[in-house]
Amino acid sequence: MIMEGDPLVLIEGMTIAGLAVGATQGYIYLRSEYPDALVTLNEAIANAYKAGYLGANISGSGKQFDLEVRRAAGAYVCGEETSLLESLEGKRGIVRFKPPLPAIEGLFGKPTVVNNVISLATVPIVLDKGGKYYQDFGMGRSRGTLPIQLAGNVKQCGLVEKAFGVTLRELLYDFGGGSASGKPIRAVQVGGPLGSYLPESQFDTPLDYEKFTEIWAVLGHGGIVAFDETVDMAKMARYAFEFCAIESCGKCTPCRIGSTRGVEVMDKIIEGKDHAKNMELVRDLSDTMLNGSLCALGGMTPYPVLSAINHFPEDFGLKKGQVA
Amino acid sequence: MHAAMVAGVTVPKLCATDSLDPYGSCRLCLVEIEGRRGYPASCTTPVAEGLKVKTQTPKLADIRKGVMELYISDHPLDCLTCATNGDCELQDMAGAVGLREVRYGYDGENHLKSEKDTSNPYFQFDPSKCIVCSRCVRACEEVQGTFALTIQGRGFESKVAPGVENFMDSECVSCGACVQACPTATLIEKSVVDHGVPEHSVTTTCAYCGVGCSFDAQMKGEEVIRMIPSKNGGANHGHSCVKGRFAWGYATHQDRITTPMIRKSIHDAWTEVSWDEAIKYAASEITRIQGKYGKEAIGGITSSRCTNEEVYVTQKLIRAVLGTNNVDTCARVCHSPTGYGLKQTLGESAGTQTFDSVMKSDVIVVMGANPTDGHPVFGSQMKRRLREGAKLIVIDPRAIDLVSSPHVKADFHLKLRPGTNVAMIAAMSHVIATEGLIDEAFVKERCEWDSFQVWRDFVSKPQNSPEALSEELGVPADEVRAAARLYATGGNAAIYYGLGVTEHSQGSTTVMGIANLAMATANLGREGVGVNPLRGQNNVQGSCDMGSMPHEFPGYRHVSDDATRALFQTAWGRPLSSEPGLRIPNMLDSAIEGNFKALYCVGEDIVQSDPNTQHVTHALESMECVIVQDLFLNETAMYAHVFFPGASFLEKSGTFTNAERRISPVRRVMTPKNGYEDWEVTAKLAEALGYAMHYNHASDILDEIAALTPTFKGVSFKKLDELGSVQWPCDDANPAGTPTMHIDEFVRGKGKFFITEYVPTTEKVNAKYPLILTTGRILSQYNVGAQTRRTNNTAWHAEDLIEIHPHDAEDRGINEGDWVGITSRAGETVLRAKITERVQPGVVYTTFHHPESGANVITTDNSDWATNCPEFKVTAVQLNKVSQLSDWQRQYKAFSDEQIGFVQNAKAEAKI
Repeated sequence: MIMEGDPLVLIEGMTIAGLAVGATQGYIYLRSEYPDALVTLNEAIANAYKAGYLGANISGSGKQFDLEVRRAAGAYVCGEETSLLESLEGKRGIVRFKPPLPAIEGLFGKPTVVNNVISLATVPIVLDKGGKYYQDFGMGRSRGTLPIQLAGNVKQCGLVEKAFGVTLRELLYDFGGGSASGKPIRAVQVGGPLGSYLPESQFDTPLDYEKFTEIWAVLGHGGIVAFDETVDMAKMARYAFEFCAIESCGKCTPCRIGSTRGVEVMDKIIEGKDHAKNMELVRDLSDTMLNGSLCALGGMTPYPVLSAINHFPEDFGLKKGQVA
Repeated sequence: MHAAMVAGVTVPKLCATDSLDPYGSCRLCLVEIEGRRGYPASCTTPVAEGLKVKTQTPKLADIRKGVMELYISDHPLDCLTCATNGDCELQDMAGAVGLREVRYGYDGENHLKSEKDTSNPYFQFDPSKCIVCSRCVRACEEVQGTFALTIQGRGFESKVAPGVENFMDSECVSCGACVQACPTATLIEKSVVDHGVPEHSVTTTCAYCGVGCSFDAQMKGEEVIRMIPSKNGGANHGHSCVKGRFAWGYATHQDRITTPMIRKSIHDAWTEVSWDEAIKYAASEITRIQGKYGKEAIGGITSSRCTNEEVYVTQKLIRAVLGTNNVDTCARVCHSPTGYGLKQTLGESAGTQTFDSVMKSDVIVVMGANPTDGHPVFGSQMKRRLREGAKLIVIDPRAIDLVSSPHVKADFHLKLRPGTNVAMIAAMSHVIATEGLIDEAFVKERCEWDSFQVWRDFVSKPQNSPEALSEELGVPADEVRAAARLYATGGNAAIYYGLGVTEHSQGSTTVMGIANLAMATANLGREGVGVNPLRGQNNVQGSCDMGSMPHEFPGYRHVSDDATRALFQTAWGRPLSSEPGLRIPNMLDSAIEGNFKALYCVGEDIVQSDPNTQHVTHALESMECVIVQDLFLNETAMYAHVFFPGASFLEKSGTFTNAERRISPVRRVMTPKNGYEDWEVTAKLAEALGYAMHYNHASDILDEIAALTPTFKGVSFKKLDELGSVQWPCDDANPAGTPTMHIDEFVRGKGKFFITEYVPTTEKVNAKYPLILTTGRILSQYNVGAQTRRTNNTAWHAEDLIEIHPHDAEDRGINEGDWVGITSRAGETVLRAKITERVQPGVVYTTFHHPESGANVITTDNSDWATNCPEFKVTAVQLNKVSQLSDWQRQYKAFSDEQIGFVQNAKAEAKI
């Protein structure tokens, strides 16, 4: 939205960040699925160069900052900052271990600041209107606004930009207009494909990073996917493993092998094969992935899996309220 | 993890190994750290003051077991019949974490049906056993620097791949680093697959190139199962190349001759005889010939492939027993100019640095050397430094791999015309002298000022400017200027050079010019700098040190020096000549003239390795008794009258001295198939000639060398056992040896500059011979190939090819693979064409690993003015497309078939 609608605010934000840390080169790593953003960004960068806002002598200040857009092939894991750096270097997008943090040893071994578009694009606003203005939005430690993506089984899908603190229920019913099918919304996945599933009882949770952490959920990039009562949560748990298997970079063992085994174990559970044994196994596997994975892809796959089991045990062949 | 190991705590691990950078993928080495969240991997977590780490907790045990359970869910359960049973890290870890059950079963997705790649002759790749730890991929990158391997696919599909179909067709150089790094049986030596895991191990030194890698010969009884590069090896630090790691099978090759043979004439069949008879016969012939033609009618040639002890004993036999100084060594045809040039300028005939010094170099100059092929393990180390950012200047007529290889690119490739080295050094010196880049303070303090001034005036002359010499060099002046500036101002600058410098009519001049450059820019006397000859063979340095040259006693002391001669006369109990003896070319000339009648040739093949083959064979045919001591019926042995079977490096004790003056132990790991170590044969011959040599073991010989040679004073087998290896000078002042030479002052006192006037070679191109032929080597073969041709290394290089630039090929209608006749003023041979832009127009290139190639049939008699080192690197030739082998090759084939038949008959008769 920002890259297509107001690319100059991102360019400005990155330039400010560059000047702040003494960097002279910036990269925008853009997935190739966003061709419009690519065209807009490149045009905006060219204009910025023409106007003297980028280049060897920014606005006559004698300071330098160059910027270019790099097209990414679209691997999910390249959203992880270290594999993003590998990919930017022209290598396979696999995760690096940390430390060293990219700020110490990043792109081509040089100190590198890696941030989301929203963070960088917010910088000019904060500098322009002051920290107080920014702080007035949001709650707790989560400040500012978040463009929330409403999707799935809601009447009105789309983007809503709100200050932190709005509740899930407000978003689902006031902005989303309830489910598209008219049936009650049963589960909501927040924070992307590796976010936890929340049951109706948690819909009053405000969108706040800390509040979400308290209930073993993640806010992530603010994606919300709603499901009505026809959803089979065992299939959703299986899907979480499948997603991880497709997107795994293959470097660490828990994610590389665990994701594929997860799909297989979920299949057995769905078939009802050695049910008790496999329920125990899926929890053990989740534990291995959660604690053993190198990055958040493998490490967070257990969030959708375990939240689905914990909140919706009846979909896993267990009695309601029963814990496997 | 390293800290834990130092503290004596083991942490389970699979992807980590001490030869590679941490990677953090296996997730077995997770630990708990007080005050930190989660379970960080110990391999990637830096140690810090006050860190409280737990390596064993119930939670960690669960995670590790969970990870192992995943590993084993995609691994065959054939441990009992697996080649690495008992030698497998995966097996060890499964045991360590207490895995008892794989609850996933074995019906899920897996890689168990992956096909084996057996294309490499020495090792196999079985992806079904792979745990994707990337150790092989990382070893190929970090240790070897070839980047042949990668991980293909991602997620569960991730697999190790050599880029193309199989290992053999890939860029893999078969160095063995991946096999070494593999924790499972995925990459494993075929010899282990065939024979099982070895049971004992002996550390010894490789007998191939001048790097002198240390290896653990892993044995089963008397049989070598594999050679593992030793991590404690001072020269190789656990790395290896295809030759040392794998190509040792020649030691047990069926071509080996293990019974002595004699014959009256080279046209007679051989007769197998006992050792006593062979020795007696040889001694009687020597006595007869010396009686008839005089003492000087005989001489000996030693080899840089022999141990120090063998060379020492041989020159002692020639000097003390035969009473002549007619002893020479194969260094005559390779690095004799190094010995001469460095002795004159710096005072010692040896490289100034240790190999590790390159890790402190900022600018590396490689001149007339091809380290990735000729000295592969050092080449890898150099590439490592280049990847860290050191600058590279390559001075070579041909685009060697270093000019452009993965993550390494030369900053300058000065593609000079063969034969113009002296002009190149003069032009670089001119830039340094005239642009104020000389370190005068260093020169004032460390060098002879007068000689410096003369040199500076000389190189500053306009005729030595890059502009004046540009046309002669074939290199643009601005490139020469920029490269010279980089050398003089880029920080620590080191020059590495090889036979492309020495094997010229002005080889010694170039060596002195290089030393001048290094002195003028203060690039001597500390780590990271220096003048570094890359010695071709394992013991070039050592054989020269041991007094194998006709004018010098051990330790480079001239035979005319009365004090030294007196010392040796007393020790050896025989009068010694003060006259330098004959060099190899003089011996040959003298033989043709009818004065030189007998030769004792130990471990050297002059027919194949010396220039102008017809001249060499004619000389040998003119002799009455040629005694050859070798593993095989080499080319020279075909002209011999007595054949003493030699022992391979695996069958003897002794020492080799590598290019960095490192004396390393050679240890006997199996009984000599021929019955004796080589020094024993020489000692027996001495005894038969009436001179007893009282040695019980090679260590006794080394003790004698140490007692008589100041630079070796502190060397003994005992010290080598303690330290692993030691770099000479090793004496009372430097009991642990001397890695870097000339630190506070040069060995000769003040460094001396020499004028190096460029005199173009007389070997000129003209209308009849319009191309320049130059020669070199290839990674998989070694020197004359006597060893490597008898191993599976022929899979990489089955024949010598002639490299031709596309323009020159097109002019002559030559296509890839055509038979090409190569004619020089000396002779003609035929090779198959390889069309490549590695060579420049006007220059053609070949290797000399195969005798039937006859590369030296075409090389000429020209040689270095100071040392007679042949001008191998410059021969004017013409090429034309032909349909059959040359006359020489056809004669060679007939002669060699006949000679081989003589041996086979002898063997057959002995059986009856």
